[in-house]
Amino acid sequence: MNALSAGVQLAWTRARTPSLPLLLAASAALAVALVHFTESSLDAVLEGPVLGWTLPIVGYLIAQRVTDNQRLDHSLEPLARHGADRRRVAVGLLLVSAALSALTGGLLAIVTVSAAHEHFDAAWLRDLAATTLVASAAGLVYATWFWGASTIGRRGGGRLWALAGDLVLGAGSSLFALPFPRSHLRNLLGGLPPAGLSQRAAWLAFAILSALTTLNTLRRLPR
Amino acid sequence: MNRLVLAELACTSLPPLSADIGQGLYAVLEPALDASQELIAVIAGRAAPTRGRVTLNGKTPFDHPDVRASIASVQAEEAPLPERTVLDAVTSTLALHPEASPARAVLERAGCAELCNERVERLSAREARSVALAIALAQPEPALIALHEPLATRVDPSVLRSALARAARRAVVIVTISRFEDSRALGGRVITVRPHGWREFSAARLGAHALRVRSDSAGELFTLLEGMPEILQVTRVGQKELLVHGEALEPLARIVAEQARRAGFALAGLCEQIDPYLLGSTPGLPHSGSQQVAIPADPKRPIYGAAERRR
Repeated sequence: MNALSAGVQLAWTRARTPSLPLLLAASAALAVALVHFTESSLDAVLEGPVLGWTLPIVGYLIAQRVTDNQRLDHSLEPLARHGADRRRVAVGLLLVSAALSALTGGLLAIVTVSAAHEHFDAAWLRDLAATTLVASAAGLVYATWFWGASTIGRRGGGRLWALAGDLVLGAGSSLFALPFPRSHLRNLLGGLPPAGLSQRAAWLAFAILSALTTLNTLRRLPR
Repeated sequence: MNRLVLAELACTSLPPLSADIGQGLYAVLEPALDASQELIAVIAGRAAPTRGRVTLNGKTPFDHPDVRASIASVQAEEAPLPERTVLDAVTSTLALHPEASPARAVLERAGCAELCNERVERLSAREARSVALAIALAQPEPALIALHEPLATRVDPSVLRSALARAARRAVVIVTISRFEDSRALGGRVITVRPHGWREFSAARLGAHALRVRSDSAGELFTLLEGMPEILQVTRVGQKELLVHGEALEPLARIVAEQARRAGFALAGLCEQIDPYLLGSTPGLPHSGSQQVAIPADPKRPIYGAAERRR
């Protein structure tokens, strides 16, 4: 078995707990409840509690599980001690958390959009496709974001700082919001853009954030 | 030929250390848990040293996955991979060592067969270490084996001894031990960690008698006794214990008591150690164990006369 597949297996074993499907179900139920029992618009629900709050929190919890609540390099030791390359194992961990976060984003988007539309017509399909794509991409970005933040702190406490920063600073629209995924996610959902960026620039920001976080994390990890 | 080199190695709980070690079995006598753990972690490539360098056959284990693949290690705290059962966890681990025996055979050989179907999260600390030791002993042709207290596991000591003796023919085997008796029982060379180097315990300087001395100031007493001509060897065998070797029991006890009195160190115990592992002339000893003798208030009164007569 190579280090990458061993990393994937380790991450999946750690993530595969009964709490994960329960968390997803609870998030989906919350999304439906918000759409039905509040007077907020679909955009407001998506930008606020569903994708603005729930997605990063679930992404954070997934990263916690996958890294076994440790710093990233320490969480790789069960395999690294047997000669597995830490960087490859770490990529294995990232793949699993990215897949789970993207799935969470997609699921939340599908449930929320479907709950908000009365008929499953062309408008529903258009909304569904656009929102699911943005939410899944945001899930991927959050996975790399928390994975990178896991290298900071004695026990990976950087994850919590990354979450707090995203929820607080990412909510703004100034230059300070630029490094945080939440500001670009809001832009892509049609909300207030950070520093007046276009939606195309938001996609680019997603790509740059993910690439920089991944490369910097891999560079910091010993082999 | 395998070679482990420690060059001015420094860690949080270890003094600066340099050593060049070839294949063979080395029992490192290290009473402090932190230092022992750190030493194993650093030489096995599981942690980077604070300062200095560790190389195994010219490469640093921490930075080279191929070197780590040839290292088998057991730490003070171990956790098998988070699979359902121990057998699953061992199977997943051994997937990284394709030439190793099947998981069940590995556990059976180490005497841990009854743990096969045990759930991983229900393992006690000792059982988890036993599983880790079984995996370490199953590793095919390791260049380095680094084990923390391997006798404090469920693995049969005779199985462990023969496995380590066999491995030591080709690999560097380093075992950290806190009890002196265990280090002698495992065989190989007994090493004590000293600032800037390792010192080998000399079996030729065991003498005819050994005293186990307990004191809160064991470290300071060790420094006082070390250079005395009547004392053949002093070894720290615990946080608060020393083993003092000499040829005659009464003078040995008197020197220890006098030195302690002069320096104002309280002695919590002074025992004659009659464990065969700890004496030069092992055959013919009636039994092993230790005998506590009260230290008299009068410095002129014999300390060990009564005990010697009893023997």
